[in-house]
Amino acid sequence: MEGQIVQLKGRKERSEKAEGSGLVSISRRRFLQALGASTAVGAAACASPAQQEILPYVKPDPEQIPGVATWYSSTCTECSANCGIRVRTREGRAVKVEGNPNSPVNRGSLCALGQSSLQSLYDPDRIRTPLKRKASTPTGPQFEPVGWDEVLSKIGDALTKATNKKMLITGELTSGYSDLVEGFTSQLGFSHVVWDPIQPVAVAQAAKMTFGTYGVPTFAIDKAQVVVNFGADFLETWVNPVGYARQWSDSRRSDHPLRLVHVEPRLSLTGANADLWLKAAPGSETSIVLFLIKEMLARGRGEELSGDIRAKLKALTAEVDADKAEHLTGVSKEKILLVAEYLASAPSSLVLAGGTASATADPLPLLVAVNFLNIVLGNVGKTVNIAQMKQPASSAKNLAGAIDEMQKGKVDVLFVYGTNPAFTFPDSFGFDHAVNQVGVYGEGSGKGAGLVVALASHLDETAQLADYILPVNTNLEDWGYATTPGGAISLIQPSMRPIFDTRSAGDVLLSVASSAGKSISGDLKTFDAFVKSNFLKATAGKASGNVDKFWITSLEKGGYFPEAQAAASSLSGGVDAAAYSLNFKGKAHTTHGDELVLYPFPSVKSFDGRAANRPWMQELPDPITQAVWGAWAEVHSKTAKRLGLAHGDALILRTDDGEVHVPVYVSDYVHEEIVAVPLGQGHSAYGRYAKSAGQGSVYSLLPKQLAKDVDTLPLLGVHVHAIRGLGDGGLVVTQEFSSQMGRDLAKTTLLSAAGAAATHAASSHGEGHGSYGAHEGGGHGEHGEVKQMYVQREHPLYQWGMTIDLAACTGCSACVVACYAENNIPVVGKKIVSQGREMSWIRIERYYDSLPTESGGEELKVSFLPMMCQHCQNAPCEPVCPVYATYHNEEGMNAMVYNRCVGTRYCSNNCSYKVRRFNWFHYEWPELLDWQVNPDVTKRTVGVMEKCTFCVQRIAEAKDIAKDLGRSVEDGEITPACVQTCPTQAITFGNLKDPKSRVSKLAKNERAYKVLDHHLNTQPSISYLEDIRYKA
Amino acid sequence: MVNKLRFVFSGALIVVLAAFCPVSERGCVSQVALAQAGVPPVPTPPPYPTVGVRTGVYNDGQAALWDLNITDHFHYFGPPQRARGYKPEQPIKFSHVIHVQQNRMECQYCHWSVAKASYAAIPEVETCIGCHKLVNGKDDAAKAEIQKIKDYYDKGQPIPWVKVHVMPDYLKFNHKRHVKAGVSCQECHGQIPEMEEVQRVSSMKMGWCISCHRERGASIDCLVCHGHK
Repeated sequence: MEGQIVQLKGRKERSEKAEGSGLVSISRRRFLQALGASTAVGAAACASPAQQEILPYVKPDPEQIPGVATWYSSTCTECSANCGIRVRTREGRAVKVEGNPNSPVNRGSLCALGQSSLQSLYDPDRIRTPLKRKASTPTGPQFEPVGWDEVLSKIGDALTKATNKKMLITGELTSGYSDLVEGFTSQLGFSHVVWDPIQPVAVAQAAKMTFGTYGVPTFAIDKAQVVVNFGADFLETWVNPVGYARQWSDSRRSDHPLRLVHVEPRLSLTGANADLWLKAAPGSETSIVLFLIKEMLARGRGEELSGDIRAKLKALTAEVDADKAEHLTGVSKEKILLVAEYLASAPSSLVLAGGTASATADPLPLLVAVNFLNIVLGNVGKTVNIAQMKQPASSAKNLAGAIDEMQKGKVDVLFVYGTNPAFTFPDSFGFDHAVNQVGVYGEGSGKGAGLVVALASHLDETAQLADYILPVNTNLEDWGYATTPGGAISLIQPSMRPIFDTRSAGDVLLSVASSAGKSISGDLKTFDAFVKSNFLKATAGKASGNVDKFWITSLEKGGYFPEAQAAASSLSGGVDAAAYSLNFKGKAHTTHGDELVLYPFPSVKSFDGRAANRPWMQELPDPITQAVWGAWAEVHSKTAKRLGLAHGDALILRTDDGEVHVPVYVSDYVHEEIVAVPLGQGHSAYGRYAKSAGQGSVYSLLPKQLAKDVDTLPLLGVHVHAIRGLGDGGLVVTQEFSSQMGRDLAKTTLLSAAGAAATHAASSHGEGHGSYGAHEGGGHGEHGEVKQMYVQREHPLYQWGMTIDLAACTGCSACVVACYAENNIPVVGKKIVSQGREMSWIRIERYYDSLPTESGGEELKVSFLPMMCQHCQNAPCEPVCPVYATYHNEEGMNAMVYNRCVGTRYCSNNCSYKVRRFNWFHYEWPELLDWQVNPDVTKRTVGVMEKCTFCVQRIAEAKDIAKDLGRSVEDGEITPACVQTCPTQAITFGNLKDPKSRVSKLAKNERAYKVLDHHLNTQPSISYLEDIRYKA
Repeated sequence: MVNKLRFVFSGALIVVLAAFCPVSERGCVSQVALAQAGVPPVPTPPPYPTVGVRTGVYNDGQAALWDLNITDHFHYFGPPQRARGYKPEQPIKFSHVIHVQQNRMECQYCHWSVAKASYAAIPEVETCIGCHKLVNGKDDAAKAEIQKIKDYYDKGQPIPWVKVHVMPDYLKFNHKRHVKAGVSCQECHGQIPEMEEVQRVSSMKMGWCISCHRERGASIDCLVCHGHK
């Protein structure tokens, strides 16, 4: 894969040298040849470059000033949360995606997946023109380019000829598209199937059973004092990760932080941030929930409920007790009682369930029990808002039914848009085979009567099955709108013109409809007109004054965002009687021999598979495992020992339906019975990066089975054979160690139950520190006159500094991807990362520590520590640079001048934080990905050191604007990319010289400390605020 | 003071060396170019002061004592694009003499973004057409050149101008800041109104920038120009 993105200059010479047994063995002739070659290369580099052209616009664009960025508001459609975004464009090209502060969903932040949507737009493997299937060869189907008109007329023919069913399969659509598709399907007689593998459909169905309405409630995590969570990974991928992460961090930083208990079989990102993480056997959590219901009822909670409900719940939970729950889940009785104690004593609480933990073959009992527990605790209407619900439309049953019909030849025309069932629906259902049966028994029998059309941007597994592929715009080139449960309507507008001969999928559907003589929405011919008219209809009466002006200002703001309404929801609908008669007993997994329970989980790196062809996401280390490029299989160390597996070994996971090859990742933080593998890797199509990362998709392991009573695909519960493969599995992780070695890198403050009194805890295995100096200030500063070896710096106007609140940092890695996007950081590929030469300027270090508990035991504490250049005042890198390429400037920044750097790497050697990155090779961006390159940041070349610059280009821009206004830069005007995107606003940047700035106040916070400063007296400009944890 | 002396001294040295220099274009280029292009005399009134293309250039475009014209022509010191006197052939023989000297157009009429952004943009083709819809040229040569603009415009293609002031990728130059600080165009670009073909009057080496920054009390922090673009 790295061959695609990296040009290794001089690699050939290097490998030739490596063939010999060393330098000594090189003959004189060889040496001279090599010398000659390198001289030639050197001369070529010095030779005069070709004349450079400078091309003006033909016509001036009123929205563009060359060199000045233009921003467009839009909406992210990477997941169904629909965060508001603002797209930064330069000279007509989108170069950066940021959160829209106006949007109530994400309030200005964006996750890693949203940041990477640019690489979907600039995917080098995008479909560039309409394609027609030519032939199928052993290497895959062959396509040839055709014109739009040909395909559209072909579609018109097929539609008139079609005698059987016409079908449209889509992903979970934004409201704009679902409104359009609704009209399209009803007008043209299509049947509509929605398929999205990780939509929380089961949660919505459980809500229908207990609350009377189908939908995923909105949760007020920040209003709860205790949150007990059964597998809902709301900080990484679940429902609304950015919004919930912000709520979580708001509460964690308040005077009364919430206490989070997380129960699940595999340590997820949310579990890593929990105060108490409990490892439960897969599919066994229901017993804990039932016990909690029983305990709460016994303690007098739920008095206000009707006697009927209470009687039924008492009957339901009569048989459970803590011992049984311990036996089933493996969670100790004391812990279960502790959770009960937390819930009983909390003034407000919230119980959540979702994610893979609930994606079993029978998920309803757990989810319904959790709803019961929320009802008993009186959370409905307080922290569970059932007035504002999101209704997922995805349906596994419908898709399975559609496949069945296709196989029977009952479908003549199939359209697919925005979903990839050939990858995300198990092969055992035979989607790919079924597609070949489309139109088989139609008019003029035999293949050819039917038509399979994919409306796709990327040549994924499903598009490859199509007869015709219509290239459609990605979200950043398209129109649309998305409604959120809170009543906001977020608009989607193109931030740039389509790069290729692509059209909006909406326009395609409209033109198909109009050529068939049908009209979807009056005389509206284009999708943007449709969007505008529907938006204005939905906001009728809200506009003050001119409608067109309202439309323009709405586009500018990003949509229509009404004031948040208070959650005025209460339990009105009765509980479905069927809810009480579910099988709450569950069944324990019994595995034999080399069998393990498969635990596929959506990772932020690949989500359900849609992010697999984005090099940033492949190179992004997974927050928990720190693994890059491709999938891995987490196995407990005991299990690994039993099966004879070692960390990094090749592993084959096999079921009757498929086989996946993944490297083993040995971890203590997964249940002994499971093997946890991220979803979405191991593509056989979709693009160069997706195809190169991994072999075999987890979906292919799943049997032909749908969940009971619920319209989902069960992900959890399949038994797989775990067989050791040959040799090395190709696992590459960027952090091989998990211990802080007593160095107090990531510190933690322990909160007592009251939440107020805080004690500082030794976070690293409870050992004493070997450091000198006082705890707070280290060996310098306010403690008195400590002799300094170096001249102390003076900062006349600005002293840029940063604080990172570890209590808010979730480790989600959005900052890492934002930094890649902003600073033109090259993606180097798996091999070079394995050599420790990754280029990321900011990394999220992850440590496993233990914290003492009230009862004298120890509990797991996972720490995340975002680490980038600390901009030390006594920087060890500076005095060792022989060419003054790195130095300290008057604004407190550790500057790096690329053109001075000669690549001695002394600075990197001397850096105490290992944050300097060296360009070992000349890295090139493949065509199209290079369109994303930020024109404000220098691309570095081979032999040059680089590191975090505090986004110096943004500082320069802010100073430029301030100078125009005749003042100095004010607080909050500079937001480096990491600060801007942070979903929890954990990072603050500003002027330390200004005592009123937020950063100076935070740097004086009692939780503030500097990493390694007390050992080394480096005086970093970055202060970390200690993490907080409740004492369990 | 030492600085000043050094400049005086180096200037003198150049005059001395210029006698031995085979490629000397000091002060005579505009005359030669004017004669070659057959441009008629400047119309009256008032006469535009013709002072030589390098008049008013900061420190005569000289970065340091050793930054001689002659050194520009050795590739060791940089590509020819970096040399003083670099005068590439342009796709259209656009004459600043006619536009600025004779017709008295303001620099910012065409280079309108110079005080708004870091780039002093090359004017859009439509800007040219704005006048040349009506102005068709006096002679055949001029007519042919103007027709080229129209062709580009009709085809919807940008004019592929050749960059004269080629700067390395690793630096940021912000036109807006300099214009707002009162630096005149001529201080870096020379007497453009006298140039038939735009040429480079300074090697624009770092020492040249730094001396001016020092003299005016502007920041000489590396990060002002380097580390970003």
